[in-house]
Amino acid sequence: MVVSALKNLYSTTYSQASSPDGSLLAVGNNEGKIILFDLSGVNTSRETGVGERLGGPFKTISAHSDAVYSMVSTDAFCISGTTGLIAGRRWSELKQQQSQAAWTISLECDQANFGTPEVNSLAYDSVRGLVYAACGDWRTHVYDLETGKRAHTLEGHDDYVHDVVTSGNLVASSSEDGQVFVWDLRAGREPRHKLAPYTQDQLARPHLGRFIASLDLYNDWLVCGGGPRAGIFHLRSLALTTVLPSAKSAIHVTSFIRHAEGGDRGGIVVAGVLPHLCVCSMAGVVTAQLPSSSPCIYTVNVADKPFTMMTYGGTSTKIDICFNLNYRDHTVSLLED
Amino acid sequence: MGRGDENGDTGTRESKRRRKTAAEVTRKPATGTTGATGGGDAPAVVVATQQQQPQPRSLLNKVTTTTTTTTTIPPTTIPTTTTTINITDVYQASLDHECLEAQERSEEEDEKLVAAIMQHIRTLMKEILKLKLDRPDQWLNEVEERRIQVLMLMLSLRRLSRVQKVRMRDSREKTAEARQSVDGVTLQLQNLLYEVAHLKKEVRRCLDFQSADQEIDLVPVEQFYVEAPESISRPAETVENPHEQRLARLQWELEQRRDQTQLFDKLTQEKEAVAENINEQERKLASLAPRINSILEATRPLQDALDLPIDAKRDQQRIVQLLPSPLYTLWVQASAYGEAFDANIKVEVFGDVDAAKKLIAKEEDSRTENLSESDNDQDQQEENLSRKKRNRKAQKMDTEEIDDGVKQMLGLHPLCVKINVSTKEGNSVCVSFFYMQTLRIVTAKCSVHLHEKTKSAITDVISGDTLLNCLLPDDDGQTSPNPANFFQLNRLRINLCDHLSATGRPYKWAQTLAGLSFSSSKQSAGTGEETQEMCAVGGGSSVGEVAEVVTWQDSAEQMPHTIQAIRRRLQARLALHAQLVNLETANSTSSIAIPAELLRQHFPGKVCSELKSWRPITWADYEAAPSTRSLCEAQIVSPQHLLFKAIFDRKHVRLEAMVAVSPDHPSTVPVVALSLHWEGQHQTTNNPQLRHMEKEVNVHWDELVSSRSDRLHLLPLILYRLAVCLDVYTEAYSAHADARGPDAQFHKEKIFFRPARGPDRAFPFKYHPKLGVFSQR
Repeated sequence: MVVSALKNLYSTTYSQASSPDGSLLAVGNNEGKIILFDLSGVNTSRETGVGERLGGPFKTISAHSDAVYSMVSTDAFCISGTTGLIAGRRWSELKQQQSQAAWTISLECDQANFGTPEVNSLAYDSVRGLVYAACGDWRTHVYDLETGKRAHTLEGHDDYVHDVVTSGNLVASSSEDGQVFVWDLRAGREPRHKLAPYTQDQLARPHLGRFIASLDLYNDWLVCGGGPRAGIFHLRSLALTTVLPSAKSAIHVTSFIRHAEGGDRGGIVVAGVLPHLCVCSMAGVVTAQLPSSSPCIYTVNVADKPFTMMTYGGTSTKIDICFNLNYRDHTVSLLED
Repeated sequence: MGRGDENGDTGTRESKRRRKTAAEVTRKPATGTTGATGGGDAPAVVVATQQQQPQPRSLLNKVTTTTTTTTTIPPTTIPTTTTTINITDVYQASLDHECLEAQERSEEEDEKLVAAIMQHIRTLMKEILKLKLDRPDQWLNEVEERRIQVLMLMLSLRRLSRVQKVRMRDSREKTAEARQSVDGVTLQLQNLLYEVAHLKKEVRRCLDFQSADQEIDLVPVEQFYVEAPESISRPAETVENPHEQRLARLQWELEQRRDQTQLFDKLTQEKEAVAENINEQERKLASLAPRINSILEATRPLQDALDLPIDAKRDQQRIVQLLPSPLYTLWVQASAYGEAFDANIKVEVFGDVDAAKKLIAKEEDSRTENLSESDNDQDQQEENLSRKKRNRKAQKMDTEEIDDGVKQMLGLHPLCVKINVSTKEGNSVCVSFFYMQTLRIVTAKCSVHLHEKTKSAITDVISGDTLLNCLLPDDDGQTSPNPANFFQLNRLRINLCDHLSATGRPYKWAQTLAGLSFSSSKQSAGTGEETQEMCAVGGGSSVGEVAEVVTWQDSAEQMPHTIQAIRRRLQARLALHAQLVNLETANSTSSIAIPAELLRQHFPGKVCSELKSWRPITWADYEAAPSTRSLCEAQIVSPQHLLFKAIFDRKHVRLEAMVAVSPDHPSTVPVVALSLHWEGQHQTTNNPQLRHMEKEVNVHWDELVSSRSDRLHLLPLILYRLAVCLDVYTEAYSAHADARGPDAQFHKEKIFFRPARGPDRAFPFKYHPKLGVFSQR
């Protein structure tokens, strides 16, 4: 009893993904478990206007032997990344409580220096059918989902890659070494732009380190943060346009909120080693500060179909749920009763 | 009319007199003697002078002439004084005359006289007027003549007036006299009235007098006539006469009382005779006892020679019979187990045998007399209190009442069972079991006796009080396992925790050993009937054995496990104690006592972080620390834990570890809570890497211990690991942070490939002993 209580005390949520139709939410934690929530009840209740709360977990899958560091959702699959492995599970099978992986991809890499690299972040390019995996071996591997083979590899970082995102023709990755690379898939193997936020005086926080833990792309804009403060860059001019306000601690999530309903267009979510999550406007003004049940937030998932729903979690056994980006609606425990 | 005239008259007279006296005063210096004689009755003198106007004038003239002469010729003063005496005599004579006149004539006569004089004066005045108008010859003489007449008349009026005055004075004197006599009579009357009232009061008091016989209860009249003999009742006389009847009844009452007093005396004598008899028989019985004892004494050498502890056993047997049933069960099982398996267990019964005997006698009494339980308990309670105490109690009832209630509620049976469990090393644990009579639970007190070598080392870690806490999971002995007690204790607002030092702790295992099994609170909550019954017990009814059932089988089953658990606990505590003693004196990481083999097996050779201090802290301190909040909230750490604070330093970096050692250490491993001082305060909530470090120590301790015997070293192992983790933390942190001062940096001494890994930038806390490298978990 004491042992399990202690384990729960150190439980961490690293990743989330929601199914394309918005009926399932998958949450990955440090014990390699994927916890599924059934959102259909909540969605129908929101259609009819009756506010229903999300109940407990619908199913808990022991998916991996190591922490589920990253997840991404495609039309058919829930893809999860852990140490040395990427696995895909069909949303339709998950709905029927089947937990087997539909496919797995092992990272092929030399293990001499690094041990088995972990998959820190996953991104999916739906147009080309490519999955980008930001890995612990300083590289971003690109896999073609049709063949399951590696299409190519984006190299150039001098430390492990924290995050990768894709938008249109652009792919952006950030690393522990503090570099942000923006690649254009049409332009070849070299990164098109290189940014180093830690060299910007307005952003640098040397005592926290250089690393950029999170970034996001939206049209010509790029937002990133980590050891340095969160800032918005304009990609055409490569100029820092806005410094986002944040507390004196590391940032783990920066994300554009794309098509959220209710006039939240163009907002940015910033979260990290803080017991709350900030929603900012593009101008860098904090529009909302949502309390969090986790002292440190590692993952924020914003779904816009069929309804706006934001879920965020981190260093606790709970996730917080918002149906609107201005206040926390309720908190759900990840533990099965 | 007369009165008004009189007033007017007196007015004019007054003014005249004033004028006269003025004249006299002016004359006084000359005629000192006349002033002296006339001073007493001045008006009378004046009147006299007025009346004798012609003479006084001449006299006065004479006096004035003589005084003028006396100044020159002193011897002639004597005749003058005689003439003044004559004058006063004249006054006195005229006064006396006037008094006579007043007595002789009546007022009415005078009134008429006055009227006549007035008339006369009026006619004379009219004649004067006429003369003055007509002016005949000689009118002047005529007028003069008439004026003299009028003046004479006036004089007579004046005299009349004086006479009237005298009369008034007389009548006033008479009135005063009359009033005096009336006053005397009135006083007499009042005296008489008072006397009358007093007498009336006396009479009333007499009427109200209550006789003593009215308070005596008498037999009713009918009964009196039926019971009393003719000689006393005398119906012929008494039926009609209430007074005689009453006397007769009183007589009869006296008669009866006399009879009863005699009866009483007779019975008292009989009683004394019987008591005498009893005493004699008791003396005989008592004389038997020493004889029996001497016989027993005589057999003792034989017993010793044959090595038969019959006597001791018989003593024990006799006492054991007095034990309450739970303790009896415990005694039987423990001694049976000891005889069968374990020679190192000694079971004995101690306590006040006499009190126990009395108690049993009381219980039997109460059973036969069917007294209510609460009364019985009261008696038992009083039996336990000394006589002095009882007296005091009577004096101040209020304050002691609650106190007594508490004492009664927590009262222990006078006998206790002591089980002495000793280990091979010669250490022993002595557990005393008590039975709480009212609460119907068994409590345990425990003391530790160490082998001589380690004797000095008794501290609170191995002190008896908490040694046996949590022998079974969740069994801290703080609350009563008997659900019914909740109501009993609540009623008197007793908190059992406050009295544990006096009563011992009601461990659950102790109940099992004593064969008491209580329905757990969860089940009892379901069935209302059962809780009702418990309420009834709580309310002091005589339903005794409802809540608990004495079962021998459970006790027999649990006995070996419990004895074993006690031994294991003692061993673990001794090991822990040795470690704590070591830690308290340790001032560096290398001085933590860990077997060399384990050290090599689990840790790299060099450790830079130093253990600076290790000291015990209180629960309040522990709870107050911010780093321990989540542990307290999750109820992983409770006040039962032994709490310590360890401080590790590496240069300017300070790690504070709050260590909670569970009471059933090492079955439940110690838990640490970390906070770090390095350019500010770091907690696990705001520093994910520190959280990883805490997790490494708290969750992955199982890598450090492979066998049970290793587990005894868990605490030092955990502390050593903390030191290693702090090394890794500082080095991994330095590998990433930029622009620190050169002295703030830590050179990388540990071997690890990646200082951070994964989205949460985990540090490589896991050590691979075979490779000698650190990696992330």
